[in-house]
Amino acid sequence: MLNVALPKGRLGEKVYSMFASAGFECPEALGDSRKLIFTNEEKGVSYFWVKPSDVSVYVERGAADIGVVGKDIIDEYRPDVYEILDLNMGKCRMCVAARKGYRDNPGRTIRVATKFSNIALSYYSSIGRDIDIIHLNGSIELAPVLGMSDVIVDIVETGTTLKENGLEVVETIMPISARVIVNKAAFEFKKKDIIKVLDSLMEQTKENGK
Amino acid sequence: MSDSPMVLKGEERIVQALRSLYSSYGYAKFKMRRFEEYDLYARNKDFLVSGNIITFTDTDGSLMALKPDVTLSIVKGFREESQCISRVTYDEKVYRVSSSSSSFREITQVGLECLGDIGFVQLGEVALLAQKSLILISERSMLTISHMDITEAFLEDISSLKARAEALSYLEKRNISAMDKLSSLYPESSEAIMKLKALLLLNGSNEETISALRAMGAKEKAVKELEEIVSILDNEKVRIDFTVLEGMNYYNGITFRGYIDGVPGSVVSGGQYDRLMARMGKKAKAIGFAVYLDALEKLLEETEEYDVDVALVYSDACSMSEVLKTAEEIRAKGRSVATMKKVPQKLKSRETVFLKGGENA
Repeated sequence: MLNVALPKGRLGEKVYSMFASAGFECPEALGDSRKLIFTNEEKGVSYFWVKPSDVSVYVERGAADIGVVGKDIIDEYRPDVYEILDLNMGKCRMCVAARKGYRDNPGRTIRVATKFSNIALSYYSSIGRDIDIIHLNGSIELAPVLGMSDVIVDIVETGTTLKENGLEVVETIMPISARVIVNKAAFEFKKKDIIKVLDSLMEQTKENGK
Repeated sequence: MSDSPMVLKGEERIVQALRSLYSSYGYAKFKMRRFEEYDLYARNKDFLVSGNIITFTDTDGSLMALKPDVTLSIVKGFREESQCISRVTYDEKVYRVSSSSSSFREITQVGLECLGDIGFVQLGEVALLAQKSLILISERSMLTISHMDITEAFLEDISSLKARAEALSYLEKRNISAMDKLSSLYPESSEAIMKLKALLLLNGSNEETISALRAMGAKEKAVKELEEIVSILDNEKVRIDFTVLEGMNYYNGITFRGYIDGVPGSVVSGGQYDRLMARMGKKAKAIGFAVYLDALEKLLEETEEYDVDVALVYSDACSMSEVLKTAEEIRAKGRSVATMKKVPQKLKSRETVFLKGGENA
């Protein structure tokens, strides 16, 4: 049985259809049901819908053998898993943003509001800046507007939310896209199924790229 | 061990079995202090799995550390004698930060180190012991093995140091997509990067992998060593895998990692570490591995159906000798007995025996 952790939401649904094309269908998984786990005994597959940021936890701890997760989550939590494939989907950027016209003062500690504390810390330490991390769980854009922080480190997809709150991108830290991650032990013991999925996903992402 | 194997917890049973396996190969038990001077770890920080160490000040003011690792202590204490081999085994507690909980944990680590004038015979023997250790824990096990010389030769063909470091991290993460991107960023090294990617795509049998390595022009001496070592192991339970990478400043040659079905991370890790020996001023070579028993917790969960066979409930009317004598009589029939005046709500016993109107009477 191949256990797959998928992120709830549109990305997860797209990824499900890619897994289905790879020969691991489980049509129920896309229904409106509130069930969180769907199994197709015949095809030997189980899907769980989990919070996107938890996918790596399920895979690292072996509850799921394979999962799909954003590069942001991988870099933030650094799970001990194989990060095999870039699906070239769910693309966005990890950015530093600030109020329009913000000027950085290198002479003082910069206050950074973010959900991604580890990414922010390693980015600023790579450029040698001392920062004061303000960890928030949502509505990050509010922090600089209220003057609680100088900048934010967050995911930017279209930039609309930033614009509507009078913020703009100051720096792009890294591009982000959806990645296939695999549990290290599962790779040894469920190799046939995992390789089958990966080969098909690789083929499908090539087509995506065209 | 034969006395009462049932009473030993899963972990203790494995420790005992591993210990007797290693002693049958001439490994002598090495007992060490639970702490060590901090300096030893500060000098070899990259060798450790995590940089976090529990420290305290000794009475003379020197900074001490609770051992996060055993190998460094063994290497430190190793006395060189020409052409001799020293074989030691240990089971020790080490203190490390676990990656998933980011807090300190006490971890039971069993392992062995083979140091001195070691040759190919010892490399093969230690790899065999690593596989035997895994099989002893579970039949559903897999030893993944690699030869760092092969990987290193390809890495050295990448001219940019930055690209080399990136390629190494992608190799470890089995990141196929990133190798493609890296190769387009560094076209001058693209051949070497594509070879590293090819290593990641070797998913066939060991024999296929060996011939693919030869076709790729991998270092023949290393391929030959890998081939010979794999040939003495149980072929169903070993797989050549180049994502098995240990720190290149410390390790060289053969490295391996072991997995057990049902345990999410690696259970065994080790390899040849001649470079660590050299860094610590020793001329000898060395190879060793550790088995991480904390990783097995999930596998070893054995919840007993009952806490005790018989709950013997006595009343104030009973004399001490009477209670103990009755209990002994039941034990003589091979059942476990706990004496009590009141049965705790959560206690699960096969049977409850009331003595002279205990509790409910």
